[in-house]
Amino acid sequence: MEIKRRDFLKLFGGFSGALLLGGCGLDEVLEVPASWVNKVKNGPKIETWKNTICGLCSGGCGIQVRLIDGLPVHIKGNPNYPVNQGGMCPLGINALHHLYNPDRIQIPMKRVGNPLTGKWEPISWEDAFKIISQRLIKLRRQNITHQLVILGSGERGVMKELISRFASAYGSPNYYQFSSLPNDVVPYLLVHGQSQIPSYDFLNAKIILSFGSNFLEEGFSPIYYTKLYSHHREQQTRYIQIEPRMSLTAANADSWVPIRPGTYGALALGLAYVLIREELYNEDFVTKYTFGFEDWIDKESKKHIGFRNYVLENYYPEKVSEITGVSSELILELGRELGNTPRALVLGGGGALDNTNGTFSMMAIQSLNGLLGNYERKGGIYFIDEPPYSKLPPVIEDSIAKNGNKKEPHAKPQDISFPLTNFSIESFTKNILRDNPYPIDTLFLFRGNPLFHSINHHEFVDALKKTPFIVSFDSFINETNEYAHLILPVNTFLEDWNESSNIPSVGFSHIGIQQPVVEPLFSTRSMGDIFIDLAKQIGGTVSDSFPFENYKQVIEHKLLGVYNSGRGAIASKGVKKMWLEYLQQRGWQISRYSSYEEFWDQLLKDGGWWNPIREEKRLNEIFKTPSGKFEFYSQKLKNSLDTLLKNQKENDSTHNLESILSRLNITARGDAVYLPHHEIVPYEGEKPFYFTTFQVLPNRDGKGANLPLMQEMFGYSVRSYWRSWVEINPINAEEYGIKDGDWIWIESSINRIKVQAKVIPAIMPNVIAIPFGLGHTSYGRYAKGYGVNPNSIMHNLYDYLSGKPALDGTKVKISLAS
Amino acid sequence: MSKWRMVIDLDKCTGCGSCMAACKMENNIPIVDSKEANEGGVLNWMDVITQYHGDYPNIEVDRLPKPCFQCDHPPCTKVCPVRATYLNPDGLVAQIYHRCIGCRYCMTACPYTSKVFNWYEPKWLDGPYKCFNPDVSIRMTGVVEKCSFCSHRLMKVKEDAALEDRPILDGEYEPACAEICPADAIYFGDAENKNSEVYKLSRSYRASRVMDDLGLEPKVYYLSKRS
Repeated sequence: MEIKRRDFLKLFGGFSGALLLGGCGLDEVLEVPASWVNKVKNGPKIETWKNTICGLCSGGCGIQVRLIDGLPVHIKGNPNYPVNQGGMCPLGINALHHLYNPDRIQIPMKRVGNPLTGKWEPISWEDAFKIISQRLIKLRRQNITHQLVILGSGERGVMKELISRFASAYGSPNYYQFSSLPNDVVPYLLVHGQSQIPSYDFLNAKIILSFGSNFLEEGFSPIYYTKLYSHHREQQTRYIQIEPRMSLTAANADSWVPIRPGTYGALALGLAYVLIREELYNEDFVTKYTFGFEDWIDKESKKHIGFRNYVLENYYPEKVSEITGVSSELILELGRELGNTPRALVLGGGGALDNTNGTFSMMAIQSLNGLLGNYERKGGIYFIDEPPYSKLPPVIEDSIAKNGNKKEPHAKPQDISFPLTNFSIESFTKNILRDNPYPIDTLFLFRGNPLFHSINHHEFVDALKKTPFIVSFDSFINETNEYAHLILPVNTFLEDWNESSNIPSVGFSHIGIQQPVVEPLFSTRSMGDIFIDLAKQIGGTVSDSFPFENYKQVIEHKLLGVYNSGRGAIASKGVKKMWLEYLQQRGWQISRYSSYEEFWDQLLKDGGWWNPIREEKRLNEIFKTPSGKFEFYSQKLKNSLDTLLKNQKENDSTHNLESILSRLNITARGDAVYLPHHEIVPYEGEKPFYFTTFQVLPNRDGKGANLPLMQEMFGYSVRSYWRSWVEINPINAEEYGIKDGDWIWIESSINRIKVQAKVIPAIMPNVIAIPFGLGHTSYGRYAKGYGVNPNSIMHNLYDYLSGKPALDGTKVKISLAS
Repeated sequence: MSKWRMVIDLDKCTGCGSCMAACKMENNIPIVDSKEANEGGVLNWMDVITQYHGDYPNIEVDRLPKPCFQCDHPPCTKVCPVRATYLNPDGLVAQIYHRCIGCRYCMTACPYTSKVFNWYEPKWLDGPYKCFNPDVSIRMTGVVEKCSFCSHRLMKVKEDAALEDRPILDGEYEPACAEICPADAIYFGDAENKNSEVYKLSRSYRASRVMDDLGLEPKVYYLSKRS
């Protein structure tokens, strides 16, 4: 497009409204619906605002969309929505480019020919539905419904419930989600006994010690945390960030402690040593509500070592200093600070989890919270309640569905790997390739882009190629669904109904209503509606399990429970936490709605509901472990390894505990296996550099790469636009003769990539870091061919227990590219 | 007469870049492609500047969101041969794009490097939908542009206030960056209004202005414990 000075002047004389659709002339407008052109040219220019929820990441921010004659032109944060309180991240601000993106899939498409080289042929919705439902009906006739596998991404709440409802009504135990969440919760499951991600009371904490959790950029809801952080000057909170690369969070923290990648657990235990040795831990909590702190004797009169003595023997500061690269003086200082400050909060995430020893590291980090007794208290850790949703009518399963649901989950790790999880992307891939426990027939890919994230690229591609029939539900063509046989275009979040409730780690129970702000631009359909219609087409009990006309009805039904409970309030102006607490104390509630319809209308108008009032739970209620206490010694881990051993014996296998542990790459022996401990990461020794990755706000997990503005902003902090860079410490740069801006090769034993170097002191020597999110080979014109994908050179390593990809588990060498 | 002031609290700012994105969307700023961007052609009205101080591991990072400082005595307006940039009656430094001849004298004169030049043909989202903000004009190749404190918003607010025959309320007029900031680090308001947040904050012990000794009276204050 070209704008000449004359055109430019003409714009202002004539039809300035055309600005919305395109500057010069109206030729391009031909592709736009006639009603739109008419509105833009002749509309009365009436401005309205609609509230909805941003769907570009898991953060669940409330947004307000500005519409001129019903056409979206601008997005800002919803100031009354409690999660983001008017704040937004760059990606969300740019969401209209997601809606108007020229690379959106506009109509259902069928692949003709081979993946990547073949062609996409448009087909009608009726035909697409016919193809899918015939296939699904055939599977039911053959009584092999379990061969349908659904691979979702980050969906939660009602959408997740709807899909799992579809799966069980149809008769497949195989609904999985490709996001690390199912793997991330494993350490919490071990120490707390429940897989809910806890919430942290940032506002009342005095010290926040974060092990690798880059909550301002990569957390569940970065804007929620930015809001909390921005009050810390007034709160006098001290933030300490422990990680090898200075992330946005570390840059804003009061203190940055660089640590060698993969040694977080050792440092946490070093701090535990200081707390125990100097008796700075919460004795009352530890005696009453924890298990395995002191030495103990089990039912079989066998003596076990307690956490106290294990730590005192093994994690003295000098040794920890040697492992982690953090000086022993600093370890003492940090430990004392932690122990001597009331309300010191410890959290972990990011790099602490992204390694082969992630689960043990996280257990060690959480053990500090156990020592400090940080549960259910001011400035501590707590668990929020589920919103008071009504239940959907029970799923009706016929004999075919019952038979299918009884089958073993397909992606369940086989052999001995990942004993604590039902899904890992690695076991998913391997099981498809080996037809183990059974072959799969149809794969539903539900948004997301697992291939781009994969660190086992070739096998994942093979698995996709091997699958007989893949249906993708997405708005864009990306690396993964290039391999699909059929793509159904779904609405973007601005055109669709959904709900966004209880974002993990956000500190109150809440529901955001995502409503369509505009009619679908193209021939796309609502994700929820597609599943309901599919169920109807399959018929029988599958259809009977979905007594709803559309997905909106499902949401309305769920919200009825919230209305009936009378709890919480619609997040509107003036409804602040203090006020709600005041009402609660006096036994009052806000019931300004005479009917459910009125409540629903108000909910759509304001965008959400929340309930900041939480019934305090007793400490003996929150831990769901076998002992009912916070477990230093994880009985769950012990039980699952014992079960594994028993099963192996039944199968006449020669495995004993020793061989199982070595297969799991666990080097600890005896009681230490079940206690938080430091496992050495099996790095390749000769390579000099630890390789780490991070995410930036304009891109998040690669999703922002098809938005040109976000590509331009990708590296605004280092002045690198539309491309990847590698951060390297000046000490190493001098060693290798690298100057800022030089191109260098980064080489692992798998592959190598060429990146531009940014020499900055904010990274530990012998560590290099590359942002994740670029290097797409598909995903539209703005994403394809820009930057590199760091995951492509990573070793195929996973957390031993949880099956989470070990993104920090690779070592590399570098050289100047001539 | 109002005196518009912006106060940016660097102790709260995290450097997330939301202000940059909000500014680009609000003001129809062209998207610059990879080649042009890496040659230095990025058009930032609001720019977040990152600087590292000190040696590893004792490093401090400065992140400075930098809009146009809208000086009370702007040096850029004095050098413009065609009066394409001038101090408007609201006290804001305005640009008249179709009068600009692209000589870039004003860019040279600005000590804060707040002005940017349209070197390339402007590009927006491909396809028929550009999602422009209908309140802001688009610019052509060969003209200088810069932050306007979202003066199109002021125009609207002034009209509303005049219709209702009342003064402009505190917080009624706010640029896109201040509105969106997730850290609540950007304050905006009338320094004549003694009840306004900016009046108080611009007198804080933490407040300072960039290159204050030049006597240009910039309208943007920074708050920081470190100076």
